[in-house]
Amino acid sequence: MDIAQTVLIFVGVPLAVIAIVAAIVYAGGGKTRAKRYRPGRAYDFAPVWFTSSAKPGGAAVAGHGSHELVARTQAALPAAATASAPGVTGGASDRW
Amino acid sequence: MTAGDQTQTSTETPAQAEGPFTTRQLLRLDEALRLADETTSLTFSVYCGDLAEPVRETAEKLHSELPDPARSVLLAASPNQRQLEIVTGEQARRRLHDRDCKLAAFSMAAAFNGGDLAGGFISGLAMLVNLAGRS
Repeated sequence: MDIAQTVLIFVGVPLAVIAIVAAIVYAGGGKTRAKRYRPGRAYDFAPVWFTSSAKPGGAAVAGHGSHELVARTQAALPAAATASAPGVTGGASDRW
Repeated sequence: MTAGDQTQTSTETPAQAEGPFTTRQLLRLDEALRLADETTSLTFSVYCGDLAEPVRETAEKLHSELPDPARSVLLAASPNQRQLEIVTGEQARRRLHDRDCKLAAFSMAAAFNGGDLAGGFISGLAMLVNLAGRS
């Protein structure tokens, strides 16, 4: 086995293996792991608002899937939406 | 169904891809919401996004935008402010006392603190359903 063959096998083959593994890792969507909420880090996703698929009239919507409400910024909320009188609604608050 | 002006028509829009939940989490949330509504005959809804200050009033405003606020329960969480609000309507409040809501809020906050948004909402929904009982 001459020098060229030795180099090809003991350097070329490991390098090829490393290149293949690196290609698989970076091609396989490295973005998916970043798409996650972590406490303390900035959360910059679009607001989402879901209810189950019943229609306001009570009729069920054909198909499935919760319907995404259009979550608007607070400035876009109509002023008249403060219809609920104080003390009527209940509930709880918490922080984490 | 929408509380806003337009309905989201396509399910594969980029807006959905921008959401904080994966497809699997969305399916689990959908199932949890459907079961919650069926079991209690109240309307549960889940909001995840920023809430303007004052947070409580904003959450109540969102709640009042729902089709039937009196029988609705809103679970709202703002990950940036690390704050969550549970709002119950007039009728829903008779089934879900503020103490019950606080209990659910504790369990949601625990999951959120671990970075699990979908899990927090689902466990909160499950607890509220158990506490409200069957209709």
